Amino acid sequence: MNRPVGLPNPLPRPPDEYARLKAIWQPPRGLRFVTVINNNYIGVLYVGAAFLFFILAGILALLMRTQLAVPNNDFIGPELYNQLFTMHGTMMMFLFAVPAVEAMGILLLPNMLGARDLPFPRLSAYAFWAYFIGGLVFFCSLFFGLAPKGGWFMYPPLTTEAYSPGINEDFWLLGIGFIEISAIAGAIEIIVGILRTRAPGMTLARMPVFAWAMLVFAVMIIFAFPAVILATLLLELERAFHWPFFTAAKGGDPLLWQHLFWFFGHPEVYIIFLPAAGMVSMIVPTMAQTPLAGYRLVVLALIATGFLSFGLWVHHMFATGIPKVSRSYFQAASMAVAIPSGIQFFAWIATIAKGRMHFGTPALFILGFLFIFLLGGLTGVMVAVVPFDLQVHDTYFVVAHLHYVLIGGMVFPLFAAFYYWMPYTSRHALSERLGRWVFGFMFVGFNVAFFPMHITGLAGMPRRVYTYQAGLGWDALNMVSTIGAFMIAVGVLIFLIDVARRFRMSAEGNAGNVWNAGTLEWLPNGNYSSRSIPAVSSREPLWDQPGLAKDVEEGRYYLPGTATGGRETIMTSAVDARPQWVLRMPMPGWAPVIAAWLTAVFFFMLTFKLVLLAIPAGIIAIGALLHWAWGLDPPAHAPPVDIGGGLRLPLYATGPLSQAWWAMVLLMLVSASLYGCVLFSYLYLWTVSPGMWPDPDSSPALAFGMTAAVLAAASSAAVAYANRGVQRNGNCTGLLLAVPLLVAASAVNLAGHGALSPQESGYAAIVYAIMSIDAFFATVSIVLALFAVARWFAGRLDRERRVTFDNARLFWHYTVAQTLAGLLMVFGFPRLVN
Amino acid sequence: MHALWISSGIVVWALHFTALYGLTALACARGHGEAVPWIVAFATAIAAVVAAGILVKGYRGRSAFIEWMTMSVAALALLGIAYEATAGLLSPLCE
Repeated sequence: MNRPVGLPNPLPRPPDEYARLKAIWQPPRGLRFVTVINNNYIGVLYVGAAFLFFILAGILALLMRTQLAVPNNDFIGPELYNQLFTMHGTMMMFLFAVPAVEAMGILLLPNMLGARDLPFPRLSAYAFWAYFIGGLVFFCSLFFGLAPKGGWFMYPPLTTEAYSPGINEDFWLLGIGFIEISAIAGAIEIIVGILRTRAPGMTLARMPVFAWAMLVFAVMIIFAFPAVILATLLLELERAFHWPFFTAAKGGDPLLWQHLFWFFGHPEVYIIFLPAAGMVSMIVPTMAQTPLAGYRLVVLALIATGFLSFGLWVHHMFATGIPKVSRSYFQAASMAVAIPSGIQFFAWIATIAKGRMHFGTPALFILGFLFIFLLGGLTGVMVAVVPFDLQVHDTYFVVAHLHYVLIGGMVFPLFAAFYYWMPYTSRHALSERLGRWVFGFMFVGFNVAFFPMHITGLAGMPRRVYTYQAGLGWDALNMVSTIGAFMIAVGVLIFLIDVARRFRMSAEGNAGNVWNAGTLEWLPNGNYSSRSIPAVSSREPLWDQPGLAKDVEEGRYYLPGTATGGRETIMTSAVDARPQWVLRMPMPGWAPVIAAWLTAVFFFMLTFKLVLLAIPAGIIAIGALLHWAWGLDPPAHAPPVDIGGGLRLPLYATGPLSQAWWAMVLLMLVSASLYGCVLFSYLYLWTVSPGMWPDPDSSPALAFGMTAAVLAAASSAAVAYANRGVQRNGNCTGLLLAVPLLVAASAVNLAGHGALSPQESGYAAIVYAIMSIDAFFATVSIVLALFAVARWFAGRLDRERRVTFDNARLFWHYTVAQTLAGLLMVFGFPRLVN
Repeated sequence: MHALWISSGIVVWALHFTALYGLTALACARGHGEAVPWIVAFATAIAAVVAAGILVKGYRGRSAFIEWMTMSVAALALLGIAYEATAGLLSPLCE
């Protein structure tokens, strides 16, 4: 007996314990398989879908490179070429890069953290299906000549209705807005999963770097994505209803779009890069068989990059005529962000230096990443310098830079990750022999394709041209780039062949810890993650805790079976990972899948302006969501369960202990970010066209604003009153009092601006946008409140079982706070400045 | 809540950055370019004091990891604040 003594659960285990655990986590069979929610299946489907979009967008790139191979080529006309580069960029960024790293998080995090699954598994399924269906329809627009053609960043005025009639751009605006919502859903899930479902003992200081990276990634999504959602909403309102947010003649400003887009778009680059860097920080120590050098410094770098990347967005707008002093702030921030990236670089190099590196295929892709990303980072510092940027703006130099950063910073680490984690999810590892060919073709092909573009750009070739004249010095360079692009394609093709040969998905029969890695995802696992949940005392538990894998597999650690007969995971405290309670997890069901499919149908019917078909789809989607929510929040009155080691944990929690509270707070942060962006837009349009703002005499009467504020605040008081009812006996019908008050507040606000038409000026449009968002939030709050009341009448809400009410209450108070801020702005600001 | 302190230093950087960018844009738009150096100096003085305060406070955390992280993030933030202040003071006004 060389096992550590005093493990939480003794042997032998009850004979049917393991069989019951296995059975409850079994994915559904047959047609019902589409309702699967286990993270290992959703994760693989998600990664697969993202990779499919990578291939499709890559094919578009090959078509473009074929067109550009020789001057004056007529292979592709300008109309289709515009659609190709728009779709290539859009798909690579929105349908491949972000979903791919999010998917890796869903696939890896629960096992890496020692959880059975992510805390909202049906939300992952919803996000996946919404993204997959939405993405496919979006791609198919190409076959009907309906694909967007305004570039992946969709700048107005080119993309306003005057210059882009038809529905091509609407596809982009509605499709991308929709897909971003699915990314936010995934981000909320990932944050709560990382902070609340870690194995006992896995304090923040022992958390794998990938989890840190995904945490920063998800927080960045929470704050960055609302900006692009707002931007797409405003541009769609302008296109559909002529609200002139971006029309200079009416007091709008096309630059507002650029601010909102790049406030999302620059953090987006790091949203893609940080998870990839997190993967590198997992793979390098394993390949070198030594812990990561400078763990704390790397975590520091991740956190700092997450913040600094929000101060860079104007460096995409250096050529727009912004004052020099403003540009210099962004230039400084663009330089500053190189510091944390440098810290990570040196940490990886130091790890390689202090260990004994095994140069398997993952290590080759890591080395390729270091080389390519370094060059991309250096050209990044070059274009961060304003005068240089002005020279190369909109040339192929920028195309070269961004591909060095994105392919170097994300695609190479992702391929390293595919090779590294394949044995975790498949019966066989990928072929090392073919892997070297894949790497060789991709690495050489990449540099052959993109390095010459630096020179093509310096020689003056602009981006997004479908052809060029002979004899400008660009001919040979373009031909070389095209040859390189096809070499990359050969590498990817060999990879696909290898995957088809060797990838056989299996959780229980996976190839196992072939790299001798130290983190928990390499424990023997199944659909239930690991048999028992280990107690962790180091960053690389498999290296430092002898016998851990065997003890975990035998069920000697926590929760070795199912305590309630259903799916469960242990909820732990955010900082110290102390076990707090046991979360009962949902089972697969049709509602999330139907909700996702019909939400996609709703958005696309809207794109085709088929409102009569969109409405029933929307109603069914909302019905499915309500049905889904109705089954959540299980009964509170259940006896505590024994998870081993003398720990008896409750099965229900409210307030900050509950996962629902965390998700709601994160949703409020998303909402606040969206609202912050719309208030910024209001102030921005004012700085551009202050003359459009009314003087006090013609401003909406203050009495309306005051009345609306009093009504909104009174509705919050009514919700507080309802809370007292819930504390007493669970009765939340006081909410019914709050509903008419909030409706009245919205109505009075609208009446106050009755003389204003949103089409008449940028000012009027942004005021209406603020009021519309308030009205939307009020509607959602009311639905949540009525839902809670319905549960009370159905006997599903009482003094203890009150999470549904708490969610409604939190969201209500948030909505009122937001409404008050909006009222202060639309009624107060014009009086303040005029 | 304790762990949220980790990022407090860099939040100060973000506020400093926002103040510099927002107030400079406002001053330039309203024709008060001469105010820019004062804005930069004033905002930087406040931000530097607060970030330094967080750095010092980091010593008193309950967990070694969190205290180290709070301090280091604040130190990096101070560097960032210095970068931004330099940019603001050396650039031509409102051109």
